[in-house]
Amino acid sequence: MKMSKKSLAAILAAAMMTTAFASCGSNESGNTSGNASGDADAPYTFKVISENSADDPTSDVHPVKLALDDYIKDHPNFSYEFETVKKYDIASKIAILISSNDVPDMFTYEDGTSLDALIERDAIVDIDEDFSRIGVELEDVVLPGAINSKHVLSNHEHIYSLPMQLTTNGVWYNKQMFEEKGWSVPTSWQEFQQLCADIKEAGVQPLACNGSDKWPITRWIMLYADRMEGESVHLDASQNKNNRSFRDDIFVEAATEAQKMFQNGYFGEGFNTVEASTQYQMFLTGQAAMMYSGSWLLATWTDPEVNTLGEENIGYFIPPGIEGSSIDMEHASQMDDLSCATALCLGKEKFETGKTHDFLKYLFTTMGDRQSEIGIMTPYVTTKDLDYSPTQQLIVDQLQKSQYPTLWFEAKMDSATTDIALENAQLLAEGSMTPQEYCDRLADSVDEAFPAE
Amino acid sequence: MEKILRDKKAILVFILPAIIAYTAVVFFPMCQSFYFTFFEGTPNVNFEFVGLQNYAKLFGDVNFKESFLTTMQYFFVTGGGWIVFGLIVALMLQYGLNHFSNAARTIIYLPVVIPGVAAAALFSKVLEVTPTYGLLNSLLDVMGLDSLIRGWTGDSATAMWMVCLVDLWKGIGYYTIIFYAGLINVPPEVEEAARIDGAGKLTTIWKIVLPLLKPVTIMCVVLAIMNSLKVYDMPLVLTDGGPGRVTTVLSIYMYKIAFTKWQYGYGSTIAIVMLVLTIVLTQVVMRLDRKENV
Amino acid sequence: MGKKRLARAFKYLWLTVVSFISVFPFFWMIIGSTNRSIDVTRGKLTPGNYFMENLNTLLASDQGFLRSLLNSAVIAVLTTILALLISSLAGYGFEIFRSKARDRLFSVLLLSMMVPFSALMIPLYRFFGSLGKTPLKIIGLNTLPSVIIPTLSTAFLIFFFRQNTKSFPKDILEAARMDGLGELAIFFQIYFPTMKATYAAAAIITFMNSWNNYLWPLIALQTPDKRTVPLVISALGTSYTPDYGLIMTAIVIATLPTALVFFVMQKHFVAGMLGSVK
Repeated sequence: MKMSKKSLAAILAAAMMTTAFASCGSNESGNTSGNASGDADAPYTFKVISENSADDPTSDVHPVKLALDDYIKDHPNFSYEFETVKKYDIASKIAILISSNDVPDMFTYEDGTSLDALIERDAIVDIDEDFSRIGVELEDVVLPGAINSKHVLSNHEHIYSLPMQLTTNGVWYNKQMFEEKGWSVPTSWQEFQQLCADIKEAGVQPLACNGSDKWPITRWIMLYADRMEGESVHLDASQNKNNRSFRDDIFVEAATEAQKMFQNGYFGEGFNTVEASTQYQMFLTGQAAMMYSGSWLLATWTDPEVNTLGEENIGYFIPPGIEGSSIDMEHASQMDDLSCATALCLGKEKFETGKTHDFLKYLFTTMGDRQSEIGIMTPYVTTKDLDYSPTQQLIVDQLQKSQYPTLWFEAKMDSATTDIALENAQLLAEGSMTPQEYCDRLADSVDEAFPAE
Repeated sequence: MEKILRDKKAILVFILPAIIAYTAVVFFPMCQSFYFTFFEGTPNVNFEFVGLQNYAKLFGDVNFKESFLTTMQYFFVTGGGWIVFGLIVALMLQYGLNHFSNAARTIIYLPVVIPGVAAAALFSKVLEVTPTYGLLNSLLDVMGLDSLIRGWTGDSATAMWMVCLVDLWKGIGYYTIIFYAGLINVPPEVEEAARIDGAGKLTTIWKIVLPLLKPVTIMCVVLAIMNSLKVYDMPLVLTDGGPGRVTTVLSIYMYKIAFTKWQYGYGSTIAIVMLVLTIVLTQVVMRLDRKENV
Repeated sequence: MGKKRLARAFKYLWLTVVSFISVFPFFWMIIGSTNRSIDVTRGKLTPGNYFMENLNTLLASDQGFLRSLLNSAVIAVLTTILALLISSLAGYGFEIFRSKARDRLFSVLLLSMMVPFSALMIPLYRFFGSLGKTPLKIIGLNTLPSVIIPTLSTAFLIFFFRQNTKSFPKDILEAARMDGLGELAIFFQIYFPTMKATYAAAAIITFMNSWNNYLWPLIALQTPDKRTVPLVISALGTSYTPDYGLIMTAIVIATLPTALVFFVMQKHFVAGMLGSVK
């Protein structure tokens, strides 16, 4: 009896040991593939992970899929695999894949500080350094403004991601409704507030807001603060730079103004539960007169089934300057938040094998044209002439004037501060957190990450 | 001798598969997790030994305390609700219903059958306020209780209660069936005797049946402890831990720490805390039971 | 007399309310699957005639719904058979071949019920991931076995079988042994047929848990063609413009198998539960 128990224990112990060694061993060995590297005809499966399904025309990776389909016609051994992972799961999914040395060829991610963790773990390609290995220079395929935007975003010397879309955010409004009711595009912040009040009075919801995504709420803090003191004030405060901090009065004031808008009902009821798709629907069906959203919608609005309002009926403006602020109206009207915030990252391990370089070259040299054809504002160089749809024209016109672009509220925050900004935004908007406390929490967290010298 | 030998082989054959599965899939990973709690960072990349630092961190972590309290609220409201309402409904099924008991049982058990993801999707529509009133708000509107209308899952005051209630709805049937099985087991002679002694139905239930139901109740309480502390699906899909952090229960906090912040060590520490909590609570219940028997 | 009638009325009212609360979401779900997405969001409570359309769109969609039904079915059935086999063998073994040491082992096993799955997630993922580069790839990540294996050892089932075995008449065992039957033969030829109710109850629970499992398949399965039903439902909800009629239809179909199984087997289910609470 004693013997059998001992041997049982021994067997179990041995089993445990082998599994332990197995996991150690394979993680250290890295990628050992059986095919000769650089052989473009060897079978290869290009793996992509993204937030939206690649078949969805608004998805960031839709052009990638189209490119792959084209490429495969001449390279039958090349195949692909797309995986859709929900936004809140992407970070964890990639984390797990890094842990098991299985980072995909390409994936979408949030740019900025979130990328630092990936960079530290040496999981993604250094674009400045290694992009040219695919056979073409970065500057030849990506627009200088986009490259610049990426540099501002990056906390490092080099950039580690490629842009997906040029996005800008502003207020879309229902032209038809405005005409019918005699409303006009506001020329100052004060007028804007009055406009909202008037719209509410008329029984329509002024703005549709996807509060459940959290970020739309913090934009209003940023919009106000920037229009009072400049487009980089929130970026500086995020890192305790240039003597700015979230403890400054301006932020409490901005947070108070934002909170007021929500409390006044300008965003309707239950904004914390509204998702983006509901927001769009409310705007398109006329339940809300305006909505603050981004240029990524352009691609869908050429489709009359989705855009039930009609392209001619959609107008666009960015929130105007504040009367009596040190920033004049002219300046304020050119403070678009312009970003290429979604990062397209290339998995380092797979990139180094060289098997995808030919495809990547094809992809990026044709990306500009492909995106324009779909209707996406492209940060890539285009070779064909562009024919804009009415709504695209609106954005293009606005961006032409943009002299003082800025980035979104959390762009330069570290991940802990970003969490605090986003998580508490809903509490601020619904009124259960005071603007003072909101700013204090932000400031505390920034102080931790960027201690004053 | 032969008997013993034969016994041994039999034992191995019977128990070994389960033991192997358990070791590989539960015991070993659990040990690894425990091992991780003494480190910080991501395995294979920048794992650093930090001793008991992770545990010390717990004490100072405001978010941890908040999640802990949220989980406790869940435990008492939903876990407690499962037991109390499960028992009441079971009693009604046994003593209140003379016909339709088959159909009733199925109906009551149905919510258990639906996938958690699906239940969350359904209820987020029921609790909606924009763009149109969901069922609940429509009812309130019809009843003239306008002031109560709100975005139930987006309001920090009510979000947690909603999560608790939806999960309560989903789980009651499970406990009802277990209690019901226990009730069926009560020998009719005992009830007869009580009736002869002149006890009314309620008194019979209270004084005779419930005490007989003790072992079943204990089992249900233990199950409820385990299930309520482990909760993950509902708060995540219904409210994503928000608004703010009001529905961030321990398992969600742990998931976010380990996967979006990449702190596997600290994340594992929270997991261990959850395990200890479950064991402690279960032990408390078991002790109470034993004490009464003495 | 009036009191009794009042009590009865109250009782029926209460039961109606309870049933209504239990059933209404299903009712709404079924109604939703017969309407278009826009009607569902508007809160329509009457059935429409879009069910076939929704069904067709669902099956034709690129989410691979049919495929996921197959995956879920394979996983659930295999899991149920294997888990039942392993757990009943163990439960029987622990009860029939009692010993102090084995009882202690049993308590340790029970402790594993309390371990939250989140604690096991990372090590399990890394383990299955590491298999990908070895010949054991067929049970590595993104395979159906990788979903099945972690769910095979449920202490709850072992506990369940053990409890039910307590009421199994041991004298039959003695008689069988004297007839010269081996232990395993006794198990399969005598125990198994007798404990049908227990197996039925355990089967329902295991099938349901496997079918509805969300977290582990989310992590372990990576390509769309391997997805299980809950994952597809989740994916349907995150598309740019979610089609709620479609989602409701998917949910109805997803809930059908377990609901049916339960309805058909419920007598056995209760009887099986009975055995465990004695």
